[in-house]
Amino acid sequence: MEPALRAGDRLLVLPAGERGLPGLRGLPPLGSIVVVEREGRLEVKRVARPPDGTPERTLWLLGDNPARSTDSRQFGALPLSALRARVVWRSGAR
Amino acid sequence: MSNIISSFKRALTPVVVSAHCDIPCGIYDPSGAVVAAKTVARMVELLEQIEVKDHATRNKYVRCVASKEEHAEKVKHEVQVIWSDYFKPEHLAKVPDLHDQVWKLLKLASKNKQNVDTAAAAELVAATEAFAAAFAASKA
Repeated sequence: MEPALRAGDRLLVLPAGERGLPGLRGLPPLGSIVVVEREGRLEVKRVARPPDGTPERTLWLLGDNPARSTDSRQFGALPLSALRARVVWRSGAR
Repeated sequence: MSNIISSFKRALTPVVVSAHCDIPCGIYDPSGAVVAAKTVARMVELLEQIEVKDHATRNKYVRCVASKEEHAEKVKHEVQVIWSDYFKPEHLAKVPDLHDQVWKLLKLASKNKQNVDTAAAAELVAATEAFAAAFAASKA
């Protein structure tokens, strides 16, 4: 996710998704950075526009560094139920 | 009141989130394939030298054949993992002939399993070295 996020950054997140704050329960806007749970792990990715034919109300997530990222290009779209949080702030000046 | 405090504490307890896959990036290494290909070539060299005349020489011959099989299969496995797991569409700009190169390399490894062929073994070593060079180029 560099340079937007770097290893060791602290993130302030707001609960989002099905059990999130009211107003953050739906699909996050394109370009926002979210935390999802996938295969029992929490991962941070950016919300991207899904390719044609992707089911509605699913998340298409891409890392910022395509050559190094494992993301929806490999694992496909994630259900909205995977969404845990929306990143609103990160520590550290750039 | 203590409930409110504890739920605030819970909300403010940091957890670790990851941006990368389980295994850290950068552990892919084609040198295993190159070493396996060189082992195949060495086994072919030995097989051409062994004169089978008793149990001991037959045993040695069979062991060399088994090792050749094993290492040719290892070349295929190592190359396939890097091809499918490491290489991303973005890398194809730097290695446009990747798929053709891998396809031919895998067929060459099979040819080395089927035969005792010095020329094919040398080709396999060259092809895995070319694959290692393509891997390096994709990172440049």
